[in-house]
Amino acid sequence: MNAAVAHARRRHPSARWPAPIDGLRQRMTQYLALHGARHPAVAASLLEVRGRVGCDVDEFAHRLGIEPDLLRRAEAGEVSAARLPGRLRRMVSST
Amino acid sequence: MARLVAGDTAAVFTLFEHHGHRVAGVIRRQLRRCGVDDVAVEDLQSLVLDACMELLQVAASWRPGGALPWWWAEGRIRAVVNGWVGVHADDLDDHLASIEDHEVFHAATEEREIADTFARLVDDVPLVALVAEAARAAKIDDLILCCLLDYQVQQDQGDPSPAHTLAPRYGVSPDALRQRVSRGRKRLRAVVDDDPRFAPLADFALVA
Repeated sequence: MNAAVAHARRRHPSARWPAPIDGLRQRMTQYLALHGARHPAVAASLLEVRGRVGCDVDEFAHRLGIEPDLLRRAEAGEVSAARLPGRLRRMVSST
Repeated sequence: MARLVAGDTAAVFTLFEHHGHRVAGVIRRQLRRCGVDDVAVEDLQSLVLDACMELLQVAASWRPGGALPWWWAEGRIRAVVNGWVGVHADDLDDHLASIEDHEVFHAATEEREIADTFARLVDDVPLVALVAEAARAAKIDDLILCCLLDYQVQQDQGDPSPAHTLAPRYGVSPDALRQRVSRGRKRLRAVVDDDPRFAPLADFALVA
């Protein structure tokens, strides 16, 4: 299977199951809170967005035009929603 | 999974969205093993969420090139499923309610004395009536018969020394009680051996 076919299959609706992604975000929020994150909901939302896009931190930060370090800190739950750059804040509020 | 191994927590969302159906397959298989053939979609999704979070926590141990993660972590997933299915057991409500009410239990019979139980069973069970008849034929009085029955009950309950247990109840020494039981059994045995009417009692421990 070449990369194009694999990519097409991954995007095809039949390859996905009805994933309750909200449930995973809530579990992730609890998980991060248990591990000491100060802003677990913000971090879980960012992780969800990047996880669904399928990028690593550097690539995702590059696409958004922000510092990778800021994204890492936000995903670690160290940054509140109010302190996020506008584009990230909109992503968090839309999830 | 390689991203999870590298510590990229976001990859669990990718895993869940793109491979959740594979994890669901492993879960369904384990559910069938537990005797659960039908599971609600919501419950299955919740189990997949739990399984993915388990994978996140053990991802650092996974080696690329090995088994697929959901097979590699099958033990973890199985534990999630087993925890959800739980252990089935019969309710003990009646028993617990009786304990809470401080009810006094009579485990085997309703009567307080073995003589009363024996008298009831003589009327209800033909073999017990035959024992009573054999005792009369052997000229064993009620007291000796009760001694024999009590001694047998104690033995059946695992009492290592029934004579010491029962001697205070009958107001005799353990040796005297042991002798009383021995003589009673011998007389009963003699009657059972001599009279074909009592043949059904030949294998009874009471006359052994």
